[in-house]
Amino acid sequence: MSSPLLIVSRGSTQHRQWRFLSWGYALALAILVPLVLQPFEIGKMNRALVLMVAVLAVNLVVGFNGMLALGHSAFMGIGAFVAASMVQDELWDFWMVIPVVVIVGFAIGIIVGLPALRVRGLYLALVTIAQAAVFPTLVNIDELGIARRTGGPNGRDVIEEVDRQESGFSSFFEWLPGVDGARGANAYRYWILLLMTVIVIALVRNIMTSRPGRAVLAIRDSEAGAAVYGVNLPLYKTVNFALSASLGSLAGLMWCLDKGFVAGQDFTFLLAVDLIIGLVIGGVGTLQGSIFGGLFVVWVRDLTKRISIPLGFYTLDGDGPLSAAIFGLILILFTFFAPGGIASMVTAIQKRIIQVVPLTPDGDPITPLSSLDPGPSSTRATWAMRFAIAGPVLLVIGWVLMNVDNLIVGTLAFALRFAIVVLAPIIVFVSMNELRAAKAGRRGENAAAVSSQAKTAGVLGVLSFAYIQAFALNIALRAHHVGHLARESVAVNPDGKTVPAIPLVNEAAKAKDFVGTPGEFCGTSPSGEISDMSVSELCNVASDAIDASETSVGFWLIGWPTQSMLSLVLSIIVIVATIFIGLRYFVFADEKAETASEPAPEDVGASA
Amino acid sequence: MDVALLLQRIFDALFNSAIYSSLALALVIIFRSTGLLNFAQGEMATFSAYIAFVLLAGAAPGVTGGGLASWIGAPLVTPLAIGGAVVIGIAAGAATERVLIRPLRNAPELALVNVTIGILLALNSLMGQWWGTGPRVFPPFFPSDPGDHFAIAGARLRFSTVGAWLVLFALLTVLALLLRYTRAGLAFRAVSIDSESAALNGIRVGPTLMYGWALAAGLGAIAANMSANSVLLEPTMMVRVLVYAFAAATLGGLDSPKGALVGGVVIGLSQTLIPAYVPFIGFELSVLPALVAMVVVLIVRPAGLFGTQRIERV
Repeated sequence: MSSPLLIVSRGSTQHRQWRFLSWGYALALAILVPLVLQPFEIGKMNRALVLMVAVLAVNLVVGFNGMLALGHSAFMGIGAFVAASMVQDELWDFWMVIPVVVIVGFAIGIIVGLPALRVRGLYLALVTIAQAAVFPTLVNIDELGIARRTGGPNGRDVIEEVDRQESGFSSFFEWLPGVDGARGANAYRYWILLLMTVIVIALVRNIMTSRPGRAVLAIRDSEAGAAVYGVNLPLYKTVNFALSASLGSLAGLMWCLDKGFVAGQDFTFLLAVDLIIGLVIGGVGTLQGSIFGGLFVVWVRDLTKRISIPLGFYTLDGDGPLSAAIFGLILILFTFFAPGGIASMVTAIQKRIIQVVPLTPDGDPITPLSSLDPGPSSTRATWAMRFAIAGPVLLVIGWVLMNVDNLIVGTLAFALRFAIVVLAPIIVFVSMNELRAAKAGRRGENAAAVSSQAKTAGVLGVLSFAYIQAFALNIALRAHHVGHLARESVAVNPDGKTVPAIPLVNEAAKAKDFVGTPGEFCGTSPSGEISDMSVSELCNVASDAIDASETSVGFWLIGWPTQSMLSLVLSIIVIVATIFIGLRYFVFADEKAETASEPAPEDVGASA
Repeated sequence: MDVALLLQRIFDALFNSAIYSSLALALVIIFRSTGLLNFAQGEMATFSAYIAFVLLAGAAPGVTGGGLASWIGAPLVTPLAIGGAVVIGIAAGAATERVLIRPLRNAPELALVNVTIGILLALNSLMGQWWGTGPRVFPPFFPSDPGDHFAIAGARLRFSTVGAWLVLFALLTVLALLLRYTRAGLAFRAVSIDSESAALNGIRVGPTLMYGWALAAGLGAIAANMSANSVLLEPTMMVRVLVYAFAAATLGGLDSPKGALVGGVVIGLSQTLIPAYVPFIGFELSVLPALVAMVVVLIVRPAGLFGTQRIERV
C-alpha cells in the first residue's frame, strides 16, 4: 500500500462525498454520545469538552505562536471564579456572564502577557508554571474580598440556570437527543458545552487562516523573519496571548457549568500538567490535536483508574493507586511511538487512505490525476477485499471477546467492533473507484479481475455500511424511547401512591440492556411524592433484575447485547457473505494461483 | 525590629535555601546539557530518599532495626544507607537518560517534557504503592537534637543548616573539579556549549549526556536525603520543593550554576522573610513572594541574573 487507496482532486464529487461522510460520522457520534452513554459517562464527555477548549487555548499560544506558556489552569480558575461570583453574588444569568468572562480573561491575558512575553523559551514556561502554582493560594487571600467571592478553601457552588421547564432559551434544547429522559441534566449540559466547543474551534480555525493568524504562525516559524516582513511582534504576541487567556477563562466557565462547583484546589499545577499532556499527546499546533488531547486526558485517565482495580489494587474511593503509574507509562510509550501526537498518527493513516490533490487557480488538479494512478498493477481492489473481509471478522472476534469480563479485553473488543465502522465506507469508495478505473481501461489486462474483485468488495462494503446504519439507528431509537419512558410512565409504588418513572425501572430490568445504576433512575424521576423508603425498595427490586456485569454496557457503541431484528439480520448476512467470499477469494484463489504456477521469485530475478 | 528574630529567620531560611540550591543545580546541569526541563527531578530525588529509608529500615514498613541496622554498628548506619541510596539514585538517573531520553533526542522539546511528566506521575504513584502515601520518619542527616546549634547573637544556627551548606559547598567543589580536571568533565562542557561541534571533535555525546543526568540525579538525591528528616518522607515531598527550585534556577539563569546557588538563597530567604514582615501575606501565601521575585527579575533580565543572554542571528 505504497500509494494511497484513493486519489481525488479537491472539490471533486468524490472529495465532497468523502467530506460529507466524515461530517456525517462526526454528527452521528455527537448524537449518539448523550443517547448511548451512561449519565456519568456523559459527565466525563462534558469534562473532555471543557478540556478540549482549555487545550485549544494552550495550543493557541504554544502550538500556533511558539511561546511555551503552560499555566493556563490559572486562567481557567479566573474564568470559573468570575462566573461563580457573578452568578451567585450579583445574581446574573449564567449566559450573560459569558461575555464578561471572556472580556475579563482577555484583560488579564494582556496584563500577564505584556511582561511575560519579554521572557522566552523555557524561562516563559517556568514563569507560567509559577503562575499556575500560585493561583490556588491566591484564591484564599482575605484582602480585597477575594476569599469572600471565591469561597476561599471551601469553594463555591454554582447553580447555573439550566432548569429546562422555566427558561425559554433552554426549552430550545428540549428536543435534542438525550435531553428528554433519564440522562436529562448531563445530556443537556453536553449539548451546551458541545455547542460552545464547536463555536470556539470554528473561531480559532478562522482566526488561524486569516491575516492575523498567519502573522501569529509566522512569528512561531521565525520571529526575526516575521519582524522583517512587518509583523508587529509585541502586538500580535500579546493579543494572541490575551485571546488564549480569554479562551482559557471560557473553559473555566464551562468547567463551572459541567461541575456546578468551583474551588481553588481544582485549578492547581496538576491541571496545568494535564493540559500539557493533552496538548502534546493530541498534537501540538493542530486543531484536531486539541480535540484528541481533551478526550485522551479524560478517557485514558479514567481507563487507567479502572484498569488497576481488576489487577487487585484499589483504594477506598475506588481509584486504582497505580492508575497514575499506568498513565505515566502510557504517556512515555505514546511519546516514544508518536512524538507528533495523535493528530500526526491520524494524518499518517489518512494519507495512506486518501490523497487530496489541490487545484491550480484554473481549477485543474495541480498534478494530473492519471499520472498518480497506479495503473494495471494496482492492488487497491485487493486491499478493498481484505478490508471487506477484515471488518466482519473483527466484528465477530469483538463479539466473542466482549463476553470476557475484563476491562482491558473489553476495550480491545470495543476497538475491534468499531473497525467495521471505519472500514465500510473506505471499502465502498475504493471499490467504486476501481470499477470506474477498470471501465476506463486504466487497469489494462487486469480489468476483468479487478472489476470482479471490486464488485464483490463493494457489495460487502455496502452491506457492512447498511449494517452500521441500522445498528446506530437502532441504539439511538431505543435509548430515546427508554429515555421518554422515564418521564411519561406512571405506576403505583409500595405506598399505594401513583408515581411516575417506576415502569422505567421495570423496563430497564426487562430490556436488561439499558443499564444504569438504579439510583440514577430513581434520582431523576420527577416524583415529589415517592418516599425515600420506597425509592430504595424499588431500587433494590430493580438492581436484582439488572445484571451487574452490564454496568458499562452503554460504553459499547456497537454490539448491543440484544439487537433489533434489522441490524441482527444484516449482521448475519454480512458475516455469512464474508465467510463465503473470503473462502472463495483467499483460500481457493491461492490454490488456483499455485496450480497455475506463477514464476517463482528466482525466475523473476533471472529474467530481470 | 528584633535583630535576633530576624537572624533566626534568616538561619531557618538558609536550610531551605541549600535544598533549593541543590535541586536547582541539578535542573541547571540537565538544562545546560540536554536543553530540557526535568519535571521528574524532584520525584527522582524522593525515590532515592525512599531507597535510603528501605536500606535503613528494611523493606517492611514501620519496622526499625531491620535492614542495614541489624548488621552494622549504629553510628555508621545512616551515612552508609544514604550513600548507598545516592549511588542508586545516580545509577537510576543515568539509566533514565539512556532508556527514556536518548531515544527521543530528535523529538520536539515538548515531547521530552511530556516524558519527564510521565516519569513524574509514574514514580509518584509507584512510591505511593510501594511505601504508602503517608509521611514517614526519616533519620536526621546531621545531628539535630534540640541542643545541636551554635548560638549567634541570640539566634540559633542549627548544625543541620551548617551541615547542609557544607555539603553543598563540598558538592560544588567536587563538581567544579570534575568539570575542570577530568576528561569526562571537559567533554561535558564541550557538549553543553555545542553538542554538534563536540560530536564532530570525536566526543561521544550520548554517554556525556548520561554523565550529566547522573550528576544531576546525584545532586537531587543528596538534597532529598538531607531534607527528608525535616519535611518528613512522603511521595509528594519534593513537589513543592521542585516549584521553588524551578524558580531558583530561573531567577539565577537556567544555564548558570552560580545562578542556581544565588537563586536558591534568594528564593529561600524571600519565602521566609517576606511573609514574616509583610502583614497581609500569611504563611499560606509563602509561595507568592518567591515567585513574584522571580518574575520581577525576569522582566528586568529575561535570561535571569547570571544566565547567558540569547542573541539571535538572522
